[in-house]
Amino acid sequence: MTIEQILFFALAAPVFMWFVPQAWRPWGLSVASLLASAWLISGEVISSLDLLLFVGMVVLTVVVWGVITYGKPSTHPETESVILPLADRVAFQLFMATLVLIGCVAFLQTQSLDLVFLPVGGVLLVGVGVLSVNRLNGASNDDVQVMRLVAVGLIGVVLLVLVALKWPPSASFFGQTLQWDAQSLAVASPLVWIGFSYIAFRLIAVLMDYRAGRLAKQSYTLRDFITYVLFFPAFTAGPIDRAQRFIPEVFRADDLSSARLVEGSTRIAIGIFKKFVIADSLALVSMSPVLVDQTQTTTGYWVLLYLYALQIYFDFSGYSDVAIGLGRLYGITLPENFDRPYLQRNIQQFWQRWHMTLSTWFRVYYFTPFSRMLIRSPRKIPQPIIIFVSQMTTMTLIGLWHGITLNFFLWGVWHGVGLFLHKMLADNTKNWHKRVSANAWSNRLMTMVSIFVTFHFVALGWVFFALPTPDDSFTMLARLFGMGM
Amino acid sequence: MARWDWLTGAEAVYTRKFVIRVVLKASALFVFVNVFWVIAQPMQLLNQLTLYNTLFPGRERLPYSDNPADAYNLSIGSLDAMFAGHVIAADIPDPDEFQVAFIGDSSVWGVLLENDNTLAGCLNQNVHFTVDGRRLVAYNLGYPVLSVFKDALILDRALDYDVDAVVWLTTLQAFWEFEQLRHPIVTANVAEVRAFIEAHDLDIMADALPTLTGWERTLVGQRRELSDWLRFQVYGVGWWLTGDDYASGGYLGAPVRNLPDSLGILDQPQIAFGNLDAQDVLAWEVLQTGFSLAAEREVPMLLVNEPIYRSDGLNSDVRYNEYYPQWAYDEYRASLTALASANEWPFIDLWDAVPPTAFTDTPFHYDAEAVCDVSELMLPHILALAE
Repeated sequence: MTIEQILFFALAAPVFMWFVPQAWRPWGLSVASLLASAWLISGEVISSLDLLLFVGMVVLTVVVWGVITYGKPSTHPETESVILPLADRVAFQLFMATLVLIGCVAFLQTQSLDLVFLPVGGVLLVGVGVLSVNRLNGASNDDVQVMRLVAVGLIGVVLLVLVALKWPPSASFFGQTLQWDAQSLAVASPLVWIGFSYIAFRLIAVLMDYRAGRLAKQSYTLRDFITYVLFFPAFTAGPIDRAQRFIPEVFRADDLSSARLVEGSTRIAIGIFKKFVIADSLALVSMSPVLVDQTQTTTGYWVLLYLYALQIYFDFSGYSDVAIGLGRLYGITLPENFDRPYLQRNIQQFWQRWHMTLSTWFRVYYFTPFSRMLIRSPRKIPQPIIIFVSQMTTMTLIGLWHGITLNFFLWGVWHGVGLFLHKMLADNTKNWHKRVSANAWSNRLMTMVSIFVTFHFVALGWVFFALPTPDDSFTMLARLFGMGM
Repeated sequence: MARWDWLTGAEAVYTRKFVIRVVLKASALFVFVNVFWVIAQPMQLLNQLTLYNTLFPGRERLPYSDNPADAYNLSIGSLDAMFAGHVIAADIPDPDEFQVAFIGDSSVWGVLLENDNTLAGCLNQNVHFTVDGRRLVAYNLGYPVLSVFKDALILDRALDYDVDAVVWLTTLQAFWEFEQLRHPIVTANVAEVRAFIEAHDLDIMADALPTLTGWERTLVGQRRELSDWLRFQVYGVGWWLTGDDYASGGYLGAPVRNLPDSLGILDQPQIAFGNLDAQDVLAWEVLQTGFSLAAEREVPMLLVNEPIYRSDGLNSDVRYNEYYPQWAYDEYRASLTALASANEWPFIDLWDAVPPTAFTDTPFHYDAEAVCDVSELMLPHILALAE
């Protein structure tokens, strides 16, 4: 999100919340999310690729919604009373009108009729298909089984798209292949699908919940599901919320109270300052391949490292503050994403407070089921191995989520090893810890040392995150300790 | 959970009246700050505040860059900020040193060259002593704009730092009278420029200087200057860590060898063939003002006609390069020599001191080796200033 987009969304919020009646707000939020996500993907001018990605996103959302609600009438998320299926058809028609509008804007900008037919045709085809098979009077057990298989297939599709986007060679390939209009060819670059990393995790979460039977009671309306997936404040950089928590809030459509207005706008102001003043300033001189090459002293390398650690924190947490603040203004309480991560006593606490919604997502949808699977394995696996494998794979997947490169993999491994070593150390030093904690002074000293060590472990890990190749990273690490100068 | 209790705590009661009060107070504060800004114009003060020479070492040349992100440097207009960030602002006069400021255009600043390879840098690479045993220390105060008026403004500032001598390199292109006020440094320092023109009674169209509108005097109107000041301070980290302050935005290619069959001066179609002095298009008075300023402070100054590219290609019998037809440049050289002689200014003419093959991207920029050769040629004349 640019600062202009943030200010637009923030200033539009009071107008929306005060002038749109409560009953209409969920509809408004849904349409606004569609329009805003098109704007966030494309910026000022919509290209054919932007539109293709936008349509792909909407189609995927509609299909996933079709699967998770198959054979179930939409219900009120709190009372679970049945809502008329007609509402979904109205929602679909409204979205079609919105897409026609986006297509017309694209046509006016580019004079290409393809850009009108693409969104309208694509979504119409899929939407009508989903709606026509979806609202049957109940579904048999066989149907449910089939749908669960379809859900698995859809998870695979989403993961494939995610891999295609995150793996640089495929991103470059699709970036060139998909830009068919002459205007875009001139600037063909790796495919960037803004927001998809987060959308993918929301879709996978609901599909996994559906498959595990955790959505048995709920049946979300198309309107609310679209809002959940494309909610514009959290579209580009999270947080990643869960549908079970998010959708009831949409449905409730709380008023913009004075408290919400103050809280929301304060968070936005703080977020803008963190992101656009602090982080963007630090970005001018923090760790980069060029600076690593040019820096002349060991002290200088540590300065680069600290600046990057601060930059990435202020950048990401600033964006999260903006998203949470905007959410507040529109009546939605998004989950917190950062809680003083650099002041934690160990790496486990760090991961409970850094990008909290991502780590929670992985804990719920990967770490817990995976480690449970290993524990229940017929072949008895020693507990340390279960812990090691679970933590290592979780952290490498988190690393690869940022991009499928060797460096993100190494960053994941770094944290996986850190978490494992911490777990082993903590398990074996419990008594010693109790003794140290008993004395206030030694406890205080221990806390300071722990925070220092944890911060430096995390900061050194950023070397893999910030630099593009292992060569760059190992050069930086060596120079931090006075070697290879 | 995240510590946002201070914002979301139950004890805080936000009513509609509270919000209205906040909005009113914020609006009032916004207006107050901007009115204060208009009256106080604190950018002048802010531009004198710097992290250079304290947290970071001072820069060895004035801030300028076409490529800020790679150079850890950027072009800022304020002379206050430019000098505050320069190493000259930190170095106090030392009786054991002979401190010499170099002023001039991009060839002095050192486009396409590292700091050590500029004229000042070359002289500082070796130890040179004056006859009275003082060590020569050179400061690069060149700036990549061809304008003697800009040079005079910088000279005026440089003299405030009690330098022992000044070397002023110039060329014909820096003298066009009607170009003198068109440069960013001039427009960014309007009050100082106006005062300078009035103080020295210069025959330059001071009326053409822009005046700041009310909006441009507000905090919002000056957000660009504020942002540049902040970025300049932040880039100090990059300068400190790397010692780099220049990244080429892209090599433009060698100077044009085959020249047009024209007697005209590049980009100056209004200048007719023959007798430049009669057309009154050269700002000699600015040069004289500069020497008067130096004389007032009893600071000796060496005037140098800087090297130019001399093509041996097509039409090189009528032109030296794409900028200069021979008639105009020869006339300028004659006038400059005569002026220096009449005023007894120390002067050297190095117009042909650099072979054509040493020029890099323009008729004024030459490679590191040639720069050091030129500095060697100037050295005895510089040391003579100390006598």
